Amino acid sequence: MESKILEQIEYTRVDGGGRKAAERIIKETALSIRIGGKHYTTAMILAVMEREFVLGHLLTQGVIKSAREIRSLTIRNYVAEVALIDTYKKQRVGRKVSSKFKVKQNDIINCVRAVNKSDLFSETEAVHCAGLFINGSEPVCIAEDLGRHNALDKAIGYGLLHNVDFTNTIVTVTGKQPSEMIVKCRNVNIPVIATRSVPTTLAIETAEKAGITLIGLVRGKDMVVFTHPEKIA
Amino acid sequence: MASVKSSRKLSGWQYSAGRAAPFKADVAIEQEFPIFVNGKQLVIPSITPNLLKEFAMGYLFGQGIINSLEEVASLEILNNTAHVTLKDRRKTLTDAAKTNYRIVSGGGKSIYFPEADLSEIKSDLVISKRTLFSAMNQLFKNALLYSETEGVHATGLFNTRASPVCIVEDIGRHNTLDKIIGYTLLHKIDCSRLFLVSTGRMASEMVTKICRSGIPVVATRTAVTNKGLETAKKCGLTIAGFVRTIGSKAITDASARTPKKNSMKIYCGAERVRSA
Repeated sequence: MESKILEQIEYTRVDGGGRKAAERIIKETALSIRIGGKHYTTAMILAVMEREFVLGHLLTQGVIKSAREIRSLTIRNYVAEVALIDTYKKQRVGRKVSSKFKVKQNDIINCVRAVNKSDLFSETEAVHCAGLFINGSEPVCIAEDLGRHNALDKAIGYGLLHNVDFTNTIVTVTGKQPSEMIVKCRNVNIPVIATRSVPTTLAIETAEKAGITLIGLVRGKDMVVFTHPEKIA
Repeated sequence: MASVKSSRKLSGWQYSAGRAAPFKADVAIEQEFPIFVNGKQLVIPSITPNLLKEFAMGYLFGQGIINSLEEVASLEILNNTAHVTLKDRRKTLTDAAKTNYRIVSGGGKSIYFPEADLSEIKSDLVISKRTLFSAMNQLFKNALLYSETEGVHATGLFNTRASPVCIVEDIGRHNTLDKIIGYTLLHKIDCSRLFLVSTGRMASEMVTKICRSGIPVVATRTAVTNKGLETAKKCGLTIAGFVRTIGSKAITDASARTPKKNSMKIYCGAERVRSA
């Protein structure tokens, strides 16, 4: 069967005197989301966990606050048709995460490690990973995508489908953290975000205001906590 | 070449084996930069705030909103906001931006752009692989923020002597490309004899933007996707991927490796690259 996520291609090897060689590269798929029959967005994604992606995206963008607001979701030929409930009313998302969650340093290190050993990344170097963990130790979902934003939407969508209480979770992601990643976590009440890489200035400001603990440069036994260290046990 | 401060020292706490100590880290600056077209807000991209005029022009060009600088009546930057007036003053794009946006893999949103409008790149450029390696080395040498924070992308435009025309760093790989293309528009640079070197992945929208600009060759430190490759083949763009040079540290999320020899993979348009 043809793979939905990898495509075999030929390339020219420069060090081998121009010989041809073959490898597998990442497939991009355009997935459109329609809400109530109207086009909402089209995303270039890695075509796995499409359902989780759509639900997660609607949640992180503040379109919905819970799965109960979805009347139906069908995905056919990479078009997701979403119907919201009749009583749907757009609510404003909270500006602050309220959570008493605390996480141990060792757990943070393990959760960051878990998203940094993707086989798909080793083969293609073209995907990002996002992981969602309850209490800093129990993995809920580790998702992969071309984009780290999409990977995060997928992990969160999975959490939504499995009734996870996001206020007791930590999210870890590969790659740098711009503000939009923090905004997504804020919109679903995720209190801790950690990465092996670094955040941007606006990400740090956003996390500070939102009450989110933002951790970067998680390498070996070290890490740098940029905001709200009170959540580190 | 323009040089604007694009990182800031911010304090945090370094935790190491159970102990916490104050720590200062270089962090890439991210700032919202709204673009107004004909008085209406089109989009609010998040960028590293340098080369603002270049970014605004490159963004509008890359999204297919303008096809040349001739279509722009005026461009003003006020309080980190771009105000663009088109010669066609009645052209409004806000509806398209609101209801028809696409999410690109870099995380940004872009307006739908029909790839069918792309034409073939016209250029007889041929460059040696040595020139590509040399340009990649220079990109790393000049990309200070990249080595400082690893939290940014860098893209450079070079001539056949491997001299840089413009090198840009930004938190987003799309932004680096928009700024470079904007630079070529504002300075009326003929792109057909130049090539790009980048740290970013060549996914569909990156390749679409390059093809639109007419730059015939791009070399990236990392990968290409199938859609990127498809568009490149259609337009006759040369893509060299995984361009790794001795001495340049290949930073990936999983590990940092130092290549033992120069290497690259040419995915399409190999006839433009000389092996000598």
